[in-house]
Amino acid sequence: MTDQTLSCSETVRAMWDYVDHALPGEMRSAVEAHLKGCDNCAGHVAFAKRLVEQIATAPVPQPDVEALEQRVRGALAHEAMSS
Amino acid sequence: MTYAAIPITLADFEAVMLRFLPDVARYARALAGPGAEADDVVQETYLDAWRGRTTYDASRDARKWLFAICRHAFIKRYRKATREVAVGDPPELESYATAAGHAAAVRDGSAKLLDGLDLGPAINAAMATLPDTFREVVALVDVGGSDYAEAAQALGVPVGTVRSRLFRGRRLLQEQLLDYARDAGFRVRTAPEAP
Ligand SMILES: [Zn+2]
Repeated sequence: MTDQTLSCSETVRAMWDYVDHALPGEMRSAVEAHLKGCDNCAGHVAFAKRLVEQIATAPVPQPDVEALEQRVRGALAHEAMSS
Repeated sequence: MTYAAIPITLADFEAVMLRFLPDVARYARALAGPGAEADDVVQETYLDAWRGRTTYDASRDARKWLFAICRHAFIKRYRKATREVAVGDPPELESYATAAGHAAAVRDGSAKLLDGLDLGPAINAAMATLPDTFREVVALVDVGGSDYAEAAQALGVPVGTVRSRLFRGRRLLQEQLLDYARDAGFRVRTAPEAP
């Protein structure tokens, strides 16, 4: 691709691939160039990145973690003794 | 490889590996969905890790090592077999639709509302409602950190299918979070006076 100018529609179609670092270099540069000059698309991308970050870090409730740890410790102790 | 660094006793193993239990639990719940199976996956992950502890290279990331074991345990033993479903929209259209959903949320103010909310519980609830097909790809890529090719290999599907399911899953999650924000905003605006 030699044309560096993307429309808003083309940019947001590539949004997830861009967020996931999955675009080929030239397309990535074209998206970045568009985002520099377009607050709307930059807003969509910022929101998309935040969504992915929230999905990655949403914590399991602490009481669940504590119960699981007890269960796992028990299973490990049993396994270590029987092997 | 420094053999002294391998956590060979149970106490050493637990000291190194149990720190990551909250992360493994998050990954297992994302992969296996709501229900008790996720906790079984966590337990099997740690048992498999213990049995394979001599293969752990202490110079590498223990969390990643546990995630790989967790992914393997889930796919080999828990993933339901009948999974091939109707293909969704092309990935680029899902991406477009996600941005369009955000644009609408900017207009009605709900996107702004998300800034002030603790989204953890909302994400967990939304993940639990996602169909397995979409949730497991979101789990692999967004929670587990796999790239498209790794996720495709893990699931035995083409990369295009991974993208299509991943983008659809994220769009469905975004819709649910924005609904949650609208509900929360509505409750704040209309909260009755305390008696
Ligand atoms: Zn634009």
